[in-house]
Amino acid sequence: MQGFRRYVIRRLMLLVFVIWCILTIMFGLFQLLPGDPTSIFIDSNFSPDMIERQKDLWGLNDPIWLQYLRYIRNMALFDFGQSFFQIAPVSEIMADKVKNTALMIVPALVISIVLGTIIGAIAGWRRGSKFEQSTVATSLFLHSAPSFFVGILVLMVFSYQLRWLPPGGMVSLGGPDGFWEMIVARDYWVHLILPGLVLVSREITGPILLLRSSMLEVKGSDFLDILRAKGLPERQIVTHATRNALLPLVTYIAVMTGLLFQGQVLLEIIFAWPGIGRELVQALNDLDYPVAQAALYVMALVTLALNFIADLLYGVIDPRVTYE
Amino acid sequence: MASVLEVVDLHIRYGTGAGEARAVDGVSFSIEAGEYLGLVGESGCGKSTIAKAVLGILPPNGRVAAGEIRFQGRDIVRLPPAEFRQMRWRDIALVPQSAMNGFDPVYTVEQQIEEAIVAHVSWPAAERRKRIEELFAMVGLERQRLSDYPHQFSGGMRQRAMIAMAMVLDPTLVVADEPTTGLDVIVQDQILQRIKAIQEQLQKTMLLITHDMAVVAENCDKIAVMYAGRVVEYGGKEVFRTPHHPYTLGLCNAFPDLDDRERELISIPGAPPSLVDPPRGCRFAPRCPFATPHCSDVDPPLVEVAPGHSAACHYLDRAAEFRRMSEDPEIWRRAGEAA
Ligand SMILES: Nc1ncnc2c1ncn2[C@@H]1O[C@H](COP(=O)(O)OP(=O)(O)O)[C@@H](O)[C@H]1O
Ligand code: SF4
Ligand SMILES: [Mg+2]
Repeated sequence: MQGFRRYVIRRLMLLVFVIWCILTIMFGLFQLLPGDPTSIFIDSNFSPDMIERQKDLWGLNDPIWLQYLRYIRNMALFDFGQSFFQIAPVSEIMADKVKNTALMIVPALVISIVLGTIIGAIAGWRRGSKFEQSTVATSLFLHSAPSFFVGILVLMVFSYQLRWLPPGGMVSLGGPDGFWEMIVARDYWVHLILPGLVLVSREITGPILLLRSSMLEVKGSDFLDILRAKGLPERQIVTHATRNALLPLVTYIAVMTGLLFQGQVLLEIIFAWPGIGRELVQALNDLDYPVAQAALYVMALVTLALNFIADLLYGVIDPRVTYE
Repeated sequence: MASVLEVVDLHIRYGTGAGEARAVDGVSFSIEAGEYLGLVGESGCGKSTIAKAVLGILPPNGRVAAGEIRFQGRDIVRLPPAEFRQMRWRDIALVPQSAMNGFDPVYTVEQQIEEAIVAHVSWPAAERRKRIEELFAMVGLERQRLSDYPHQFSGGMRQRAMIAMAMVLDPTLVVADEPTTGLDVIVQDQILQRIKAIQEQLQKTMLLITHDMAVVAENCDKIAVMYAGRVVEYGGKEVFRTPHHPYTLGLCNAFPDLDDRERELISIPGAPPSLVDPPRGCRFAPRCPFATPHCSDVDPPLVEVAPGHSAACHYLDRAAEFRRMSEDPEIWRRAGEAA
């Protein structure tokens, strides 16, 4: 336990270091971006005097190191300032967008991992069966299908042609608002079906292929013979095998969540989902720096946090891992 | 009363890329209640295959092609799977070759012993716990170690836990397949003594599988010597006191004798034949120092040399002469060069 605590502390320190690096790189990047906020925000009719006063107000005339320190402190406190265009503090906008993105990702991810694990485990267990062959073929196909293409395809078929499902958005106009109202509203789930399916079709292939191959490996283990000799029912033997085959999945989930945001941006645009990815693109278009910066930062934070959790989880699920 | 285990003309084959391997090719033996039978032979002769068939855990490419395995008079080969499953561990338990990997690494030892109980009897939790503790005490493990994971045990401890697990339902028959492989010599000895003590105390019927003749000589009261899928000599302690088959002679030479530690160890040169396409005559002929052309032509049947003692060799009448000659390492060396 002592060792575990030390391990967690070491990992946390590393995490803080990485976050600091990311912040510093972002600071540099936004310094390099064309123009400064004043050029977008300030009317050309402003007198030079007024511009200077405005710059003073924003601290843009302070020395760079002071700006840097202030920036780090603000980011650490989630104080992202005001949007140039929306009348709301950026932190509020972020909270809302993160919630919306989570409303798409979390259900899809849970389904992908649970269902993918079960399908992959069965495929590996029944090696050489029709089920295994068709599962592998389908997974490889889905894995290589670009999700923007699949997204547009399902939109055309199920929304524009068949008119079964809404063509995008998270809720209908005047629909439910707020986290809890949404999860209990049918409207939200109907809107989730298409983007959720596209997301699942991409994310589920990883767990399926991984579980299948690690199950094949576990299948050769001697302990399975003993379980059989003990007269355990088949279902219980498969459970043993699956628990062993699950170990590499934990590491994989960390990778999976890391990659998640890449495709997420496109999906949110195609399905007009008001999430953080779409917000980022919008903000970059508008040169709304505070929002863009905060969106990048939040996405990085979420990715790092998920990785961190997956790392700790590995030690919980595999008793052989020690932290000495 | 029927024997506890009676194997009758058993044939087991494995499907392989090169054709069907006849891993077990007409094996018969029986174990009466309270008997300790040793099944001995070089690696690859089909010992584990027999153990797996007795427990019903042959791999998917293996099948019993012919013959019977009678447990207390019932042929278990043709038993409905559900019924056979109920018999496993409760009636026939296994101490495996691979104690190292015999436990699932992600479950505690106690969980794994417990699930064997739960699968067969409906004892309350307290009684299960009591039984497991009792068995841990019997094999000399501390009860605090019950909640350990297998990797926290040494090899010897793991094998003792395996023995405890095998005994947990007080089975009628215990099959121990090379129970000391991979352990260091001192631990090997302790494990074998532990098994022997349990066998004597509880009057267990046991099948011990090993490649080590000395282990059988020390522990068992009945011996079946296997070569290339067949039993070549079978009987009581006479089998190693007055061996009749040249292969048994070779095996006796290859392991240290407790009474005569000075004796030179001679291993049998050469390797066993292919099981996919076994030679026509005596399967041992290519390595046998006493082989004649007749041997590679005609398969010798298993015949009785004394009541309860049989061997499969054309020249059983010359057994005394073979025994004397086989003490000379030169004879074996020459046979090896000829092969
Ligand atoms: N699953 C399998 N598939 C094909 N051949 C096998 C399989 N298991 C064992 N064999 C072959 O069957 C023969 C007997 O093996 P085994 O019973 O394990 O021997 P032993 O336990 O005496 O060392 C060997 O020649 C081995 O190569
Ligand atoms: S039959 Fe011939 S080859 Fe076979 S064991 Fe006897 S003497 Fe040797
Ligand atoms: Mg073996």
